[in-house]
Amino acid sequence: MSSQPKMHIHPVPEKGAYEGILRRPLEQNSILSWITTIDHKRIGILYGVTALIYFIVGGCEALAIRTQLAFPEQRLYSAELYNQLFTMHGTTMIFLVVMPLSVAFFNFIVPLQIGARDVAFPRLNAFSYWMFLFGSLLVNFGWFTGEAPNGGWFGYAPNTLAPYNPGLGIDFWILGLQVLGVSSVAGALNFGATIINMRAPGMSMWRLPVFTWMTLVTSFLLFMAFPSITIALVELLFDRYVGTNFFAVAKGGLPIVWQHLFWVFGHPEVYILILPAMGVVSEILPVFSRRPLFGYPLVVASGMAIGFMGFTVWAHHMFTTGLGNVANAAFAVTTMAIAVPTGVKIFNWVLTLWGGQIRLRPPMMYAMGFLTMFMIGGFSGLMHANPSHDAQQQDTYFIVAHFHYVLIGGALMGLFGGMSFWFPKITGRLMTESTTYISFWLLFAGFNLTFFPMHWLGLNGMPRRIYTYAEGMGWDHLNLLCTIGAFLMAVSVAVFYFDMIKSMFYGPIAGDDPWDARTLEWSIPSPPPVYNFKEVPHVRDLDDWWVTKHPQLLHHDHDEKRPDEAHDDHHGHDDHGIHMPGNSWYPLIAALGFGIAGFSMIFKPIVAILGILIAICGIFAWSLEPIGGYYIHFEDEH
Amino acid sequence: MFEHKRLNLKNGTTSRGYVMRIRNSKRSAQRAGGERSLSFLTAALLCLVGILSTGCSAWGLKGPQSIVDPDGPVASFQYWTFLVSFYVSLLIFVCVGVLIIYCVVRFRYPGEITPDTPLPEQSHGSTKLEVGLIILSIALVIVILVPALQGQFYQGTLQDRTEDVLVIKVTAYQWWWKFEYPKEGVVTANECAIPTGKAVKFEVTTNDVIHAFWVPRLGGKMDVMPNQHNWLWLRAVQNGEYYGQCTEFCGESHAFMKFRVHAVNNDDFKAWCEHQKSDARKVADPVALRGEALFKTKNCVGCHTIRPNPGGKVAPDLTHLASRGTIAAGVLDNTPENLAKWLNHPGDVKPGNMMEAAFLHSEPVPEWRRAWPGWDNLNIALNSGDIDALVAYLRSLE
Repeated sequence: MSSQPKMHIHPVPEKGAYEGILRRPLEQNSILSWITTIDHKRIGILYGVTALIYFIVGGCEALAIRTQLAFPEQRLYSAELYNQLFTMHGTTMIFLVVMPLSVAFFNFIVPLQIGARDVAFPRLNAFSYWMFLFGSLLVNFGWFTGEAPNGGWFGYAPNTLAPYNPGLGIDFWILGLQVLGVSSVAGALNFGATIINMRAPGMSMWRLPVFTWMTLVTSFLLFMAFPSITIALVELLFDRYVGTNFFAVAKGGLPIVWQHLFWVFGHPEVYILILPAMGVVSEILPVFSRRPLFGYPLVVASGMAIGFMGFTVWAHHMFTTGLGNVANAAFAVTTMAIAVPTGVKIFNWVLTLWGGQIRLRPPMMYAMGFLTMFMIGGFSGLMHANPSHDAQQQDTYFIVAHFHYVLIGGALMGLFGGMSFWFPKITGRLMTESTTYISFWLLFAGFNLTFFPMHWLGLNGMPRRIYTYAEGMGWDHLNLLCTIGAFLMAVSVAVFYFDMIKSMFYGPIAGDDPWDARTLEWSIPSPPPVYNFKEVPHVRDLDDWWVTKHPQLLHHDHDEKRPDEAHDDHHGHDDHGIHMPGNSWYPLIAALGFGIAGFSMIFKPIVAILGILIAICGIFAWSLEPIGGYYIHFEDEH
Repeated sequence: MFEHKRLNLKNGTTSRGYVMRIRNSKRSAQRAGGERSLSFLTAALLCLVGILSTGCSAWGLKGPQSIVDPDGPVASFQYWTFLVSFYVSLLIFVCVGVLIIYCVVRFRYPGEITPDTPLPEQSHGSTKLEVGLIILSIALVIVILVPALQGQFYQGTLQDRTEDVLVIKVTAYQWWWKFEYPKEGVVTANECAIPTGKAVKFEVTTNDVIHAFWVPRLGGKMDVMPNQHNWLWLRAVQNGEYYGQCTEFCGESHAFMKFRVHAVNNDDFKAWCEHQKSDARKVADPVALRGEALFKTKNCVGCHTIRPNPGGKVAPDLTHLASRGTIAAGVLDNTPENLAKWLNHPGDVKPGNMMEAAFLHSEPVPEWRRAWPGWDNLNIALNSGDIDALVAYLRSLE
């Protein structure tokens, strides 16, 4: 199983056949092969690496913010720059770090977990990545012109309208987010289609690994939530460019509408960030407890419930906007209701540990970190689901503490766990365990040192988004602690990165299944071959790979065919071998067209027509592109 | 005018404990004529807050904007609802945390695990346990939810239903606050007074972007939304100076948009209103007289009003500037040095403010700033002699 089978390759089409305008490249190792790739694993790696680079950018922005706030009355740089820093820190961490890092795992892991050769639409997948890259450049481009976005990641109108914000920063932000939105929606549709349609035989929905389930829920959230912010951004763009009055106060516009549109997107977005991490943790805990996930159906159902209820709670971000008692009370009820499925998940994770054989390997450490830290974030969330006291907490550091406990203690702990868990599968090598422990404990200590005092700061009345603060407000020492913690976290991340890069080249060879894991991705070589599965697996049970290793656990009452019986009809490749599609230029060209349109909307709107034309041509040529590619034959079979 | 009182009150405030304050709240509630007395339930709840929070002094957070050091019925009630959720959360966190630690200690596998190590029990779950935990979760959520909803509706019960409602119209500007008392005929900025023990209605509107009006120790905030009529009811239970701050991000100098609320006895409040209504003091000192002239020739009056002279309304009314404890919207103490600092370079104190743009012309002035009244006539480059004269004049405006 572990050694790569001998194979040879036959390109298609035959010589002389129609090859399209741009031939589909067949290169496997050059830079070109990465630029034109449509392989979900490579796209996953591209997403992951890009996200990890932006994590450095967002982290530096965080350090700049914390340095400015270390002491009272500090004015290290201008208030305007501070506003740009916190705006871009939020925007970067949400859209360019946590989301793409999750998507990296969707890409790399989900097709492997469901026994597929690729996602449903591989070229659309590549298009999503390039759109993400161009969108991220657009959002960040303001740093080069000196006018980075400065309206907060929430971009409340009318502060983001031309009269109050005449610079280009907000335009970068609007257009960048639009491009990123296209990327997210395309990706979400792709993963929805993949998980529903591309499952291996026998992989019924109730045998899907929890991570794949959470990917599906997240995909639904993505393409249902993004239209709302798309509309909001178009309206804001029109207000700024052509003088419409959606939010323009003097002409009777209602800025509260921006808030509704934004948070109808914004709250599901929060679950878009956390659900993948919950999925990762649901994979890690059973592996390192050697027990099935406790209450699998309920964990999945809770994930769905959280996703669904995520659309019913947006106004809790607006408790202080004067919605009225009844509206506030109603949204308090829906918000607190989410505590129930979230609680169910926590209980099930903890009960998975009960009676197991627990190994505290690095991924498990991150999962345990997730459990405890996410709980704290959940509880502080419950505290401001209370509209009465939220009037006090809203826009104070208590909220900052809360969502960092959810997003770092939750989402990032989970994703770091995922990185240390799947690193051997992705690279074929193990990370250094001792270094990972050091990195974990530094992160755990630094994180708590940074954000736990923020609860106190908030209770002592320190507002968010203030550039500096007066002495004698009782905020001095705690802020210094926060700053020290932030630098500790930076050290931890540096250690983690260093070890990742080192292990990629020098780490010990991992083997197929280094953790004694449960799901299908561990049944194939590490790193997985380009075709993923030599034979499409026939799935007999939840945690099929675990059952394969421990056949006594198989539920024999299933009436499905045994794999040996299924040999003929589910062989996965027929006589002419496995067909692998060729790479393609068109996703990149189409995305480039949209990227050009976005940039030119800011500098010279007329050029946008050219960009849109390029995009349309790219999409047309893409749809007419012949199949190309090659066939893989294995020697032991023919 | 507030100077000496502020000092006294500061001493008074620190020496008193929570329970005292709660008693005061009950007494003043009875005193306030015509106002609905608090229901027995509310009084009991407030006493409970007193008891819990004395037990809870571990917070140790006594800053001027502390929300765990409430000083009015709204803030106290909100604090109580917070404590309920805090204790319930703490209980669950401790239980689950202990369970996790127990699991890790008890079930940690001592040796190396190989694929051949015998498996532990492969249980897939327990319906009874799951249902039980769901019911328990719902029950705990309801425990938190009930006081939370009570708290949401509580502020409305403060409403003063007599003829004698005290309304303060608050208008937020980038980055300062205008306070108007329509009935009393008072217009002032950044510092306002309220009579202790009386429920006051703050009607909040904005001149530009969204801001939020927040006096933490009196009660939770209310956003100041454009094209929307928001209000909140607050009541102070004892005399004192309460800090307030804008909490909705409102642009460059969001950090420097503060204000003060002074709670004073009813008689003092009436005297304060009379004083604020009156015209500015006549100036006699020659330096100050020069300042008065400069105030006009340098076109400060384009934006600021000093009654009885006419003036602009887009900047704080300065008729009784010297009676305020702070300048620049609660950012600097009102001292001659700070006034000079402010006049010298307002952008150092509050980046991006209109006065900076008008004064220095050091950076390109955006179109929208040119739109405000009197822009073309601006001639307010000041030398140090001018600044001394203006400070002398402004300091005389008690």
